[in-house]
Amino acid sequence: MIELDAVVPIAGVAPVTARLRAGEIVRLTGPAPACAALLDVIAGRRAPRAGAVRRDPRAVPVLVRAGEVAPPGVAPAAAVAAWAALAGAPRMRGGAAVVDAAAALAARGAAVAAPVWLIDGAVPPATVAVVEAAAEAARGGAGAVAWRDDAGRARVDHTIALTASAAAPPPRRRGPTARVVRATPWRAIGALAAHAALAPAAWGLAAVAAAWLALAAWVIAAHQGYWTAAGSGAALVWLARLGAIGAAVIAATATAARARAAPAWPLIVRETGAGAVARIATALAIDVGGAALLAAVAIVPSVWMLDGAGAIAATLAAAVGRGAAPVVAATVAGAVERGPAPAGVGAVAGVVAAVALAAL
Amino acid sequence: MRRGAAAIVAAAVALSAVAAEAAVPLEVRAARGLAELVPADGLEVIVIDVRSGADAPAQIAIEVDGVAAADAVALAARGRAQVTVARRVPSGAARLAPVAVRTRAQGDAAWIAIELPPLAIAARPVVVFTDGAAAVVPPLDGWRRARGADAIVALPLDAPVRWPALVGAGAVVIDRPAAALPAALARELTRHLASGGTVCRVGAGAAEPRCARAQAIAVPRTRQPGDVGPPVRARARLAVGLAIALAIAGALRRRAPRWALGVGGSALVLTALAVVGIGGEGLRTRGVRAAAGGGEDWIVAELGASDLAALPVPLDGALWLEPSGATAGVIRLDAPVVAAPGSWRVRGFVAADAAGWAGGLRRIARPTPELP
Repeated sequence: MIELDAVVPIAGVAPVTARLRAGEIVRLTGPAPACAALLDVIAGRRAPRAGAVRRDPRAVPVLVRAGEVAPPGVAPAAAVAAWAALAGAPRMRGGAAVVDAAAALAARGAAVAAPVWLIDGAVPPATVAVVEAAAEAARGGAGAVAWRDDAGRARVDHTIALTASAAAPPPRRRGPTARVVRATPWRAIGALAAHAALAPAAWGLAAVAAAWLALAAWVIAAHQGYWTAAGSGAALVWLARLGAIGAAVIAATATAARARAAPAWPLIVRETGAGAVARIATALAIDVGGAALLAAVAIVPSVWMLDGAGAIAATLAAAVGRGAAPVVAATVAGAVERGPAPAGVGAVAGVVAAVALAAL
Repeated sequence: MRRGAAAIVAAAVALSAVAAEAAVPLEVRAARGLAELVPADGLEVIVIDVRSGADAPAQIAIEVDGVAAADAVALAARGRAQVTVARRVPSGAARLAPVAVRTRAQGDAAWIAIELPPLAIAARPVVVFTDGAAAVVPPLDGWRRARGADAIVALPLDAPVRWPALVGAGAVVIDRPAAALPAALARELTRHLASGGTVCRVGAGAAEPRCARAQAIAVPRTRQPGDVGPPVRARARLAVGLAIALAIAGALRRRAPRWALGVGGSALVLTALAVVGIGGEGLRTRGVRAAAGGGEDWIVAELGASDLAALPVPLDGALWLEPSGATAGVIRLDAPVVAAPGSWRVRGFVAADAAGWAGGLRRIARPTPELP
């Protein structure tokens, strides 16, 4: 599936010539930085200093690296499952590969995408099950696995050893990123969104938003006659507005922090070779999913305003807008924070967008 | 001076025969004022009596001079309903124009209308309750002039007078002890006395009536805004409960219990909104109450109804309730209801052990007034 022809991943490493075939489990040994660099080269994240990488078009690299598995707040298993789906890997369910038609075709060598799992370091426990299942699928012919794990693996087909070299390094070149056109795995993206929406972190953020709602209600009640006319129902309008703004601020801040904490995630998704629609949908799945419970909390004050007094339609319309505020904030914050903007700009942009929406 | 019961108040009668197209035949009678006058700065009380000639229950609507006075008054089959409404006597006016009272059953297109005759307006009139007006009233004329009263009017002891009709009277005179008065009249005069009115008794051989008046108390006269604090704070407590449920759900390791607690607990907390009724009665009160005798308290208060109050709020008691600062409009005396948000001025009588909205009023210790 992948041939390394005198590849020098980083300076100071002797050229490596090796072959990674479908169904093989390969172990990398040598200095950790050199192994990591070689996995980057195989994954297409970086070009080799020297040599050439010949990659079967069906081979889609999936680099799972300790410390950059998934954005925080999303279950690693869910992230890896979505990630593998983007790469065309067999569908995962409960940590096990579902042997579907694509996997069967891959096992017979048909021209369908097959993942090359590149495991760098000790992956988190929650991810191990997914990777083990992928390795099982690879042994069946659906892809291959290259593993750098200090703890070692019981069963490997062969080992690629990296050694140091005193030869002068060649100049750096920028390599192309593999692109394979395939269907967008909507099911996996939806599952990722659901995991993000129902992750413990999402519940925790919703709890913070509810606490903010309580604080806002107490402050509004204490300022009756100042912010609003005494006895006026405008107090509830203020409560709904502040609740939505608070939820949007929480959503924007959390999403920006999550995006900032996982800078490799867009790169990881990109190197799967998935199309732009799939990559955007994956990013949105985490951002929107993570803000779903916040949106539900933001709607609560609007529900409290429903009194059957004839303004139900307008109140429901306002509720939709206030529920959308955290989602918009998270989307904008995530998109900006993953871009080249300085840290924190995404959160500010998300808050501004949400406040503008909530003010409506 | 003695007049029959029919002449106590100006009255009019309309029979359903005049409205042949009405599905529910109604007989309407109405009376207004004290005999042919009303006290200046007082209330023009209109008592409307409706009888149904239909064999089925009905609900009726009543208008006074085109203003809705009562909606959905229940009327049993061949039953009778009495509605008492009042209007403030316009300041500075010398005479009240005739008033039109219209009634119709729900579903009927046609109104049954009657017209009540005009009334004179007298400043601080003396109202005498007696069955012997010819003997009692003439000797009081000098006393009346000395008190600056415009007129003196005699009513029989069985006159259906209610205490709001006596507001603005200079004095009310009786010719016998309270124990010898009809119970209904004694109660209304006791209420008049407790509300700050003057009640006098003319005794045999006495040169002047002996008068009693309750000790004056300071009452609130400024508006009372409503209060949304309690319902908003109740929502804050619900939000705290929601936060706790969500936090516990987030701390659970397994997905199924987390989902169950998060969604179920949140739904439970939010459903509590409907169960506990966080709107509540929603009335903010400011005012005073004082013993009025007869197991009642005299109250003067301003009620603030917020936008979040569970309106309409019917009030128990013999109350005169109107929007604070109102100078016109029809007041329903027999069914006081806080119908809309805003400040409401209420005065009248509630049971001495009344709680609820009346429980928050400041109790004034003063001697219980007694009829002379």
